[in-house]
Amino acid sequence: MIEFYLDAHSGVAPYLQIVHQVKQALRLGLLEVGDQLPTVREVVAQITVNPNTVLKAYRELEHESLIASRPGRGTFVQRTLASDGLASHAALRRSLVRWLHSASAAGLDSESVLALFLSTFQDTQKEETA
Amino acid sequence: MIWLTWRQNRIEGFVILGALVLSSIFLLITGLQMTQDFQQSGLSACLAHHPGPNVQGSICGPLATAFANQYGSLILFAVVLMLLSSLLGVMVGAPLVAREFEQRTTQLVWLQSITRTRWLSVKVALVLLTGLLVGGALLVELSWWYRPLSPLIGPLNPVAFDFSGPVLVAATVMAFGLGMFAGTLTRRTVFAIFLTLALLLAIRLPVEFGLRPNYEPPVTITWPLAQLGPPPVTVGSQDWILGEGFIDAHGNQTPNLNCHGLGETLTPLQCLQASGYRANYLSYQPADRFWTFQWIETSIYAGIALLALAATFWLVRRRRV
Amino acid sequence: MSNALETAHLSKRYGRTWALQDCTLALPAGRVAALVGPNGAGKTTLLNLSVGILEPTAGSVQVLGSSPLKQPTKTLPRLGFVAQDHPLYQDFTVADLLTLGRKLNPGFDDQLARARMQKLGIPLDRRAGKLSGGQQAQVALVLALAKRPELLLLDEPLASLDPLARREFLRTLLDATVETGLTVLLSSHIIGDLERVCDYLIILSASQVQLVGDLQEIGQTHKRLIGPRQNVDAIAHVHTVIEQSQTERQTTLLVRANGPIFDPSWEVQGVSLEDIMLAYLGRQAGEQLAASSSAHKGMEVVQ
Repeated sequence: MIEFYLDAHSGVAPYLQIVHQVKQALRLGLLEVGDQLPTVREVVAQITVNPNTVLKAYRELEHESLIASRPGRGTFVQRTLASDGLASHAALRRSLVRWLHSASAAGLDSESVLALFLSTFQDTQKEETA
Repeated sequence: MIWLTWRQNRIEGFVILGALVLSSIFLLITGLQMTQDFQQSGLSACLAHHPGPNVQGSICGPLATAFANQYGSLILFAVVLMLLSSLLGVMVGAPLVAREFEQRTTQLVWLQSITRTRWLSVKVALVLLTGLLVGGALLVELSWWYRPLSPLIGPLNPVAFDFSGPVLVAATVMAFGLGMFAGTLTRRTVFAIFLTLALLLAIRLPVEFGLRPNYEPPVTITWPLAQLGPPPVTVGSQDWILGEGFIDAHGNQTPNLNCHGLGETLTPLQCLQASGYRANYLSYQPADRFWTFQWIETSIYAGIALLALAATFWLVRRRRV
Repeated sequence: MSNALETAHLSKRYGRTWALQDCTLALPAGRVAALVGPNGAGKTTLLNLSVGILEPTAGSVQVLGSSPLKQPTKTLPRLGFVAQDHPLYQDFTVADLLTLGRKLNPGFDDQLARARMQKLGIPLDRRAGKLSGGQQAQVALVLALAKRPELLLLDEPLASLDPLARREFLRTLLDATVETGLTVLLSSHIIGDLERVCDYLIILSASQVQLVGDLQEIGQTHKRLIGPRQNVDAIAHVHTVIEQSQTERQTTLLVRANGPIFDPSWEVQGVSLEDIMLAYLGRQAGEQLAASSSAHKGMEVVQ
């Protein structure tokens, strides 16, 4: 069963963090169709969070038809994301590898590579939401 | 709530029980010894053959004096027991409410599903009942123990009066009630104990020495100065002599003799007459007033106890936190 | 949805000092609410008034529809309270305390209490005084929860606890809310931990209510506005300015938005809950929000 965590300082609302973690698990194949999600009570015991937060996250995932709750039995995964898996993005993967080689050749160490990627990623995110 | 009161006070309960058992044993041992001596010395038989109010002056006098000298000091122990019972009353009463304020457990117990009045009522009732039982038991024991000494000293004697009747129980209940009130008022146990002891002194001393001699107007007899012997009325060992002496020139009773020129020139009688003394006097309370006095004093103490308890209830209902 | 707690102009004065002034709020049932404010703000006073340990100087308070002061036998069984520093009878064993609960409360769930104690690893035969601070807090909490209350009030329950004990305390508390739909109001002068645990907020400062509302809506409707140094009157006319600061070149405002902000001269940003709370707590006593102006969507005192 999936185990959640909460980053209190990330600035992201707790319920969204749960949603993201479920989606990430689906992408990585850690959750498959038919798997049971932890009950609200179990999640509260794991991450000491308001039960309504969990309910909200599960409601959103249900709204996106990713999960479904069966009364009396629990909440189960209904479908996965990107059924082809990450493997299908081979082209993206290759260009990423090329970029990493270029960065290394330019003299950037691992931390700088990561920093460059993150700041560019965040700027792009901001542009998209603005 | 009964369980809670017991659980909170069980140590005090055991201490009181232990003290009662110990004092009972002591009273039993000394009491039996006294009773035995009372018989064997012949005092018992003598008093039976020569009944009369005045023991000291009768034929049994020497026997009585010897007996009193031997056992009279044990009265001290009875005094200690009485003081102890009042002290215990204070020490159980003061923390009953004060300790809960001090430890802030009022915020725990008042938020359970009982009302504050019920909480206090059960506490007070239970502890009061225990006090009455202990006081009653002590009273019975002391009365039995005192029987040999009683014909010699009398129940109106200031010390004996305190433990020969319901006054003992009322005084203990008053100590307890005042302790509770002081504890609830000040919300601090130690301070409340000292405050209550001070209050008890301030009440009991004036009552014993100021009020008690006057519950009923004392009987005063006067007889002429010329009659220098004993008074014309037989005052018994059981009666309580309040004062004796002379009536001076101003009409006041005085035990003192202030006589000029005694000795060479004047006889005692001439001296007295010359200094203006008018008569002899004797003031006393007759023994048959014992029970009246007991009930008067019991009412005083019981009344104060009731007031203190009522005030405690009022404070608890009104005070918050 | 009914209100678990309702106050109307609730006030308490000691001598000449007002501990709580004109407090009017409503707490909807089923919420886990935080009562936040600095020391001396009136949090303990508000809680004590709500459970009937104090008598108001003015105004009224209703808990689960009845008055705790005038109808204690009706209210007390449905109410749970953990006072500041979680007082317990120190020489009682944990088992004794459970007996106390059983004897003094009609609906006390002894089995539930024992199960929780076992789960928490608290031995029943240990005296309360010998337990750690965190364990004592848990015992006080379990005692209150075993009454099966509909409303639970806690006065600074986390104040004296280390981080691990805090987490475990909150876990027990939240688990109980899942089970029973219990309404919780807990006061704290420490803001951290509250965002993940609470979904309703009451801010108290200088003995007055500054803000009441749903936590998420508060987060959404408060904005930080940054712009070149300018006069704030235009903005203040439409939205409520909570905090403002000016430098030579820049004006920064924290506002409670009464609608979308169209003014292009301002850059609009979200504000963290912590900054929102600090802004309200930092206001002077005279600037408190008038109760009538809180007829704002999402922030209104829920009827």
